[in-house]
Amino acid sequence: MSGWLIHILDPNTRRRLRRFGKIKRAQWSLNVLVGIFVVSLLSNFIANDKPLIAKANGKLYFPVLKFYPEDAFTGSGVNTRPRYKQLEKRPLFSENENNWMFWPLIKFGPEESLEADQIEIDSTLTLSFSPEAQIAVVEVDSSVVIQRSRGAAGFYGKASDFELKRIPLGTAPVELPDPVRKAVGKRFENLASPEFEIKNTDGIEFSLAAYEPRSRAPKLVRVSMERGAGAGEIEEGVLSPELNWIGEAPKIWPKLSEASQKAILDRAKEAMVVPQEVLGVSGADGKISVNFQRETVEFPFRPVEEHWMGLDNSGRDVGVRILYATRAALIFGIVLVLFTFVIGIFLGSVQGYFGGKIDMFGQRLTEIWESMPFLFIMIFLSSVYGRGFVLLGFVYGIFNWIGISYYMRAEFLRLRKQPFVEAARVMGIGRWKIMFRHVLPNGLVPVITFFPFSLVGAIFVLTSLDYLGFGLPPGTPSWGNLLDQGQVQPYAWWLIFYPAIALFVVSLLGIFVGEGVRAAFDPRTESKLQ
Amino acid sequence: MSDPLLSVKNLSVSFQVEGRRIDAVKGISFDVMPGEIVGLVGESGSGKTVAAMSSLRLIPCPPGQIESGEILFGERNLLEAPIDELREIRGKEISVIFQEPMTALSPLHPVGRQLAEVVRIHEPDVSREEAWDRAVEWLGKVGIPDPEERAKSFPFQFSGGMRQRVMIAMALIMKPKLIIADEPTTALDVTLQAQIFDLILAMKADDTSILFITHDMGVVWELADRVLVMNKGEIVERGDVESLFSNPQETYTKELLSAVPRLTDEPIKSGFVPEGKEPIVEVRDLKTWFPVKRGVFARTVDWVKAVDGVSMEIFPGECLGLVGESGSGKTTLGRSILGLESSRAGEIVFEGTDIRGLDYHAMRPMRKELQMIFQDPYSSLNPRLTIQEILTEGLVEHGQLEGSRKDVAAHWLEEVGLSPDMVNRYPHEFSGGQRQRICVARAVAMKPKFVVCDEAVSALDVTIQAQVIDLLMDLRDRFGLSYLFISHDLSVVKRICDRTIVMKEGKVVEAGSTRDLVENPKSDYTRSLIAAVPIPGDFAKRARNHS
Repeated sequence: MSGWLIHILDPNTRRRLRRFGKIKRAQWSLNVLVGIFVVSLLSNFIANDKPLIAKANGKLYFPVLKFYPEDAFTGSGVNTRPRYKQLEKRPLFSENENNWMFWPLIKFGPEESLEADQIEIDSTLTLSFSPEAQIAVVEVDSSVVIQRSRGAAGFYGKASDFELKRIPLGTAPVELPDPVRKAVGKRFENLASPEFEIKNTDGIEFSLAAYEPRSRAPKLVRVSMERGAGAGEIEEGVLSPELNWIGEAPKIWPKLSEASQKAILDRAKEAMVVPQEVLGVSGADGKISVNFQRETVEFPFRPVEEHWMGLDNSGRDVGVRILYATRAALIFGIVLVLFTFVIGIFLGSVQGYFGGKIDMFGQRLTEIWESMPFLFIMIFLSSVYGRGFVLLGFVYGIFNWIGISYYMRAEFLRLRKQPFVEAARVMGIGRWKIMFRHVLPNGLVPVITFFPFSLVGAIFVLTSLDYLGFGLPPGTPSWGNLLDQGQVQPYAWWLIFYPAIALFVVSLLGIFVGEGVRAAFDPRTESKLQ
Repeated sequence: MSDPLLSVKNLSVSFQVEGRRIDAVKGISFDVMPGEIVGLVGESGSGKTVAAMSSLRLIPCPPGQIESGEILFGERNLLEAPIDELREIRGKEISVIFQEPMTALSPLHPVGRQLAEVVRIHEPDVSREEAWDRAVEWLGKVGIPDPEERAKSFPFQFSGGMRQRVMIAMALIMKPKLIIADEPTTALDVTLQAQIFDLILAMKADDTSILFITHDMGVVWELADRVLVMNKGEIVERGDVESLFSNPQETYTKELLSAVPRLTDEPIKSGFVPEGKEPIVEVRDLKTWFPVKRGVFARTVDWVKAVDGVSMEIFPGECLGLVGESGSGKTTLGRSILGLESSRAGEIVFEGTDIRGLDYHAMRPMRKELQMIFQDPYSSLNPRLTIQEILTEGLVEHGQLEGSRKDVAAHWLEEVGLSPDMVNRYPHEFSGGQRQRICVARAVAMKPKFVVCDEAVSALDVTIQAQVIDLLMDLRDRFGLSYLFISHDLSVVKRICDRTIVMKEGKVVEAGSTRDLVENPKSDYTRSLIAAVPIPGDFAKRARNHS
């Protein structure tokens, strides 16, 4: 019937549309959602690794719209897709002044894996300062003065052990706890004493071995001093290529001697070019090893200037992939929901209109069908037939029509007893005409109010299937795929954050629209009684 | 003269509908004296219900808005009273009886509990048991048999009349000073209506007043002391019932009164003579039984015998009346003849062929000969089709369209007294009466031989009703139609039907010429039916309630 579309726009529907227009949030959400959809439909022209228009040898080419073999530009006889970015730089192309390429806004394609050297980053240098563990052994006399020492110079800020001879163990900066003096004293008195350990306030651990009385008192007592690597924190600082600290300098830096600082900076300068080994310097509290780490491009790579949503684990631009994924999600969602609605409306209508045995058996079959697990069947079929848009849509469609069919059945059961339907029966109008001309247009309310919510639902299903790896074919840009990558590399927050934001925004807008539609169809929500 | 119980002064109420302001009530004033029954009459849309409900602020705001006025109940102005105080008054001092008892009772609670709840809300000191006892007592008073057991039943387990009794018990249980009754008997049969009137009058305490809203002049005549006639949001005339009925002043009141069909009216001349004609439709021993199914396997354990062995015949050009109370099977009979309900046994002979039980395909060619006009003009037109499509759809289906769709639709609009340039409008742009004209046009456009009018004029206001009846009679004469006129309203049937059949519980009780039937009923059932019909201006009926 030609007038079918016009029936949708009867006065009642127009009134509902007007009411919808008055619900600001919903109207606004719809505009934004449609805007997002239109932009995503144009993704090929917004972000691509092919130029929009190229002129070569006096001819115009439209690589975004059409496939051209490399041969067309170079005459090389190669029939594969040319790499336009490289082609643009080749002398063969660029030397002819009439040749040019007009690129889209974003010069990266959704399937274009970039090489590490194509990512331009300012190389920074991360320096990590880690205090080394220090172990020393000193032998002291009865007045707790050092007589011999090995490796203890660092504790006292001296250059060598010789300088420690005959200074008291408790000389600053080493603070000697009293129990150590007592324990040393006991040993000089030749009294049995157990193993002894104590830490002073600076974290230096003094320890003495267990002592058994001997024939006579010892002349010297051995004390071990230890400061563990854990005693001082590892600090990090980032140097710019000009050897300035980016952000705050590490706290240890001003405590280092000028000579040490210079040594570190010299080594850093070299490290900017060639990886360098660990450098040991002596700091105020002992030895410190400095590690130089230059940032290299490894995928997934963090957001940088040209790729401000980062790159995924194959070096593809996350922003571009999200744009293409939005298109896939919305188109997929709309097609899926329409598909399920067509099945659901048809089956629900038939059951509701004819009733009786058809309804009875239809309902039982629906219940059996409903108990089949969608996910298992999806996983099973996709492992047999491979992953694909059509299979996914088909399986989703044949499992998700049930909800809407219940609603349509109820609507038809209600409407088929309405006098205007009976009047049509009395006039001898054909059954299918009654169903689709008289009943269906009056029973579309649940369909329309459900649409936005079903759309959001379908997008979620697509995303979760992609996340599980049973959705669209590998390599197709999708939110779920990005989230999946993000799970493997948990530090790569940009693989989680941006797709999640996209999913969140689209579903929120969808739900706002759905709410608005529902309110527009049910004006009673606005009236109230005292 | 004592002080008025309720005094409405200069009340105006408006509604905002789709951005437009509709003034439903325009500055009306009236008083209700203690112990008085005031009838508030008017056609649909006259604002009578809004006016009454506004006095308890029982209208939804928004979209409603009480613009101005005062409603004095004793000393208090109800429009300014705080909502808590108003809740105290509602149900206790002023109570409401609604038209539709099914929707006014909560379906999830036993009626006794709902009654007891009313008591406990207004008198929190009363114990649960005492409130229950009072509920049972009142159920007994309103004539519900075995009240102790029935108090435990749910609303759906009561019949329509019984539910209305429960509603009345609920309204009266707090012994209110004022009862607002909003068309409390419109959904009920005449015999039940008469019982409910008796009940209301018997129950009402001496100083209780009733504000009785109705569209039915007969009801006002029987019940009310004073009457207010509303039209388009204004009170056009007021006064003592007897003087207003005998001597109406305003043209509107005069029109209203003259349009009311009375059982005493002379029938419209039809010139129909059945002698020597072959009946166009002959029903023989028709049985339409609905199965009552129980258990897991839906075994049929019993039958509801909606039509149980009915025989009748309709002659060409005849208007056959079919009357009976609701549930008597009259509508089912009409629907069975058209094949809208499947009958179990019997014969339906249309022009010599038995059409009973014909399947969808065999029935289709017959469809154009047999048409139906439904009761509710609002739901019998598809809101999504234009008038042109509605009027010509059946003709197109049967290949009978002569000329363009637009011309045919315009022609039929003219035939039923509507402007032919309305063909592209949608049903919602028409009033109830206009819609019913469109329904008539749709049925008659098929050039049928037989039309079932299922309460075709019952939902219309009296003035409109008279017009549609005239239209139906005019079309019958011009196109030689036969009608089966199903109605619960004997007054209308008396006016237009040559012969009448009275049905009760699926069976024909009495049949014969309408005049004989009304003037000289043979069965008790017909007699009670006729006795219950309110007749405005009949002092005998009025006296019964005002002795």
